[in-house]
Amino acid sequence: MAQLEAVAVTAGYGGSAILKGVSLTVAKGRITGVIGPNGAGKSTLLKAIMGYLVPSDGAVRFDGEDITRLPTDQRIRRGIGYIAQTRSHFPSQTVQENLRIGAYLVRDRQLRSQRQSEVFRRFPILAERRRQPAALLSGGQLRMLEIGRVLMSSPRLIVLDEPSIGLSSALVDMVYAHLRELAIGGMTLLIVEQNVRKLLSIADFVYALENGSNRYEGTPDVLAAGGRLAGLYLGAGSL
Amino acid sequence: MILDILTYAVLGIMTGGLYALLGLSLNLIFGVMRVINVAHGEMLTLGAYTAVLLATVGIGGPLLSVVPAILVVTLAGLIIARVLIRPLTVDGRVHEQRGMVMSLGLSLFLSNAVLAIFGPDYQRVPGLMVRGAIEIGDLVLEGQRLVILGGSLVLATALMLFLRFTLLGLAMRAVAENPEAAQANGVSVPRIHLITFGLGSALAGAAGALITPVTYAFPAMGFTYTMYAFITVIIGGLGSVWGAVLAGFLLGIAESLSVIWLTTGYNAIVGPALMLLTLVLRPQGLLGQRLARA
Amino acid sequence: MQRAKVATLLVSALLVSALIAPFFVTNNFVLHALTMSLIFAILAASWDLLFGFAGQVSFGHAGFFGLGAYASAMLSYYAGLSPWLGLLAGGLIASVFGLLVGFPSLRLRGVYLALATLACSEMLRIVVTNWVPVTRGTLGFNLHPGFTFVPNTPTTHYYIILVGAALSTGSMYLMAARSRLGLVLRALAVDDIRAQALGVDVFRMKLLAFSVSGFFAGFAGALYAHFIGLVTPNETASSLTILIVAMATIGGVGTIIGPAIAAIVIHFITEMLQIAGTVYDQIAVGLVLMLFVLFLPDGIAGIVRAKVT
Repeated sequence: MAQLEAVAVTAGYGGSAILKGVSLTVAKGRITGVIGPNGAGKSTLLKAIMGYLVPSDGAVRFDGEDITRLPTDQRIRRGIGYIAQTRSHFPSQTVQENLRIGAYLVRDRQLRSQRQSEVFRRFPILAERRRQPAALLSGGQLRMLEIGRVLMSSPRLIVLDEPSIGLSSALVDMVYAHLRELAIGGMTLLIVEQNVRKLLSIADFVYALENGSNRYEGTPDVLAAGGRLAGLYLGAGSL
Repeated sequence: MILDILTYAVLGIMTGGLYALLGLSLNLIFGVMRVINVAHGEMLTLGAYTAVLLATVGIGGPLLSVVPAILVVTLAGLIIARVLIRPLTVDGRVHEQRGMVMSLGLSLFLSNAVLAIFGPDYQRVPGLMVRGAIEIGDLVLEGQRLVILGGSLVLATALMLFLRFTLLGLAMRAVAENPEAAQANGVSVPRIHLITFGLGSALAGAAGALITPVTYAFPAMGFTYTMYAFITVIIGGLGSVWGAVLAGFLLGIAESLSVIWLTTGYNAIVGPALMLLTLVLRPQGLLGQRLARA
Repeated sequence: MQRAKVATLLVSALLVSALIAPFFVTNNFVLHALTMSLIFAILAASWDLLFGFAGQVSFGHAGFFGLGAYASAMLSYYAGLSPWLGLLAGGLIASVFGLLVGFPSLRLRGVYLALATLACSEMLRIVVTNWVPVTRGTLGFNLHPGFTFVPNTPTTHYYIILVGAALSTGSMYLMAARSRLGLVLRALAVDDIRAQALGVDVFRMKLLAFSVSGFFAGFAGALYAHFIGLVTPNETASSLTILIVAMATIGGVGTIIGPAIAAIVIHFITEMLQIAGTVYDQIAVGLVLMLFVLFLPDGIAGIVRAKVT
């Protein structure tokens, strides 16, 4: 069942179109991945999905509702969480304040407190550093903070833009372990990744973009069988 | 000599409170929206003239006129933010150059509108003044000036507490730091901008109502206070709330003390000179976070 | 190519009408207003040179203008210098001030730069207002308006200033739009880090831009001094800067000619409105400026450009 759909989205900055009619479907409760070389339009696609960019053509639908022109904060309100590629947190604010902002839309104090405890249980290091400014956190800890703050709003779908970026191999494994755990718990995930190997290890379905268009798609097994992935494992480059 | 310095220093603290308030309110607007509001002083003018208007109708006391002034200026600020500034906003930040020029036009418009409605004469509302003074030895502290200091401190403290401890204050700080991430948390940046501008303007308007019993109100008064606001913000550091407070008092004291060595007219040079010095030597100000090259 | 032809046509038409204007305009007051408008044209163009081309926001142009006016007036008053030389002197002294303003501003951008220039301008204003023994404070200087060697009639004044305006605006335009210097300045404005990487001496170019812009603004000030005959600290007030920015924005930043023409039109209209007895001219300018920023940010030049292409 489709929870999120992008239908023939055309979008770009200024006059040029970066996305030229890209489509994708994110199934509920599944992990959907998006891969592709630099400049393929992956981040732009996420921006269009999240409302930072309004497509010139095409549509974005969430749970059947057309959200193409909805402002970002309204999409969050509908239950989509988003972790941007870089600095998806507030360095000058404390860990606790960062989490508090994550719960901006949550009115019930008890619920907030509950969720915060949850986040602290999941990421004990955040509890330890709750009163420290986020700027003092390491890369891996920041990623945990960002996941934690997204969880504060209890979304139904989380969109992540390159969660592995800038992290060591061990930290990437850690982050992905958490993501897998969330998925097992029923969370829908849409993940854009440069680290193809890692993504394929947990994704249920993968889309490949190149030059702003859909190139191919399929489950990891099908893609491996079709020999599509050989080029990718050798490094960045065309598909 | 020591007594002179002390007297002037104390007077400086009294004006410093006002500068701190002006700096804080401008800092709020700039920090959150990144808009250079050259018409900030005009919000003060509106507040001042609201007090004048009320006085001519016989309403209001030295503190009472502050509330209507705040209401009027908040309304004006909200309208300005919605109609003039929001169209210039892209990706959660106001277009810097256009915002500046827009505020220039607004400043021109408002100061002359006030001129057209109220005339060029200097207006005074002595009826609103708090009478009496406190005397400490040879030091005389006028009542109304103490009210200005007190009022400024109360408003400044309230603002700082608000920013630090309320959810809205947190949201405003978030938008100031990272509008995209703020949006990702469900914060409506356009709404925060409106609130911020309204709040910043309201504080300026309150300042206007506070000072009117002591100074004359005249249509072009805004500019001087806009200057003070910017000087305070720059010296204190853009984005730093404590910086604005510190800088406000420093400026007040420095400007006041300079009278000992410079003739009265010249002491106005202290402000711009300190601002220029700060911009050249340490653009991020005393406690600021962002660099001039940002 | 078509754009260039249209532009040349427009400018030629303007020049011709400017040349024959005094034959049709017999009212001295109107002629006076026109003459003042031409002075504003130089001023607006000089601001545009600094901002539209070199990308340096100046909130201190009133300072250049006032300094040029004061320099020329004081040299005439104290040293009996010929007004003609005074024009040059005003420009040169203002250009030196431009260097003084540009120097601390070298590393600054955007609002910081604007505020630095404003600080300089304000400091000048305060000195001029208070240094009574030298500048006569708020009294200012009262010169016998006029120039030597020519009859001092409104018409002669008009032509003198027209020539001054045409030469100034023309040279600024050639410098900015048609010369290598202009190219360098524009590269500077777009991305000064990259320009520096390409070998452009960014600092020297910025200083040059400031001093050239200052020169012409000061020249305008000196013209003003001898035309009006009264120079007071008002000529250094920031309200003047606001007006200049308004004119340049409405005319179209980055075109030199646009701001010049806008300045003429705006000032002329506001002067005419004043005879009609309204106080509403400045309100109108402010309003028009805001509307332009909202709907026509590229100014009138922008509209013209859009129509022609």
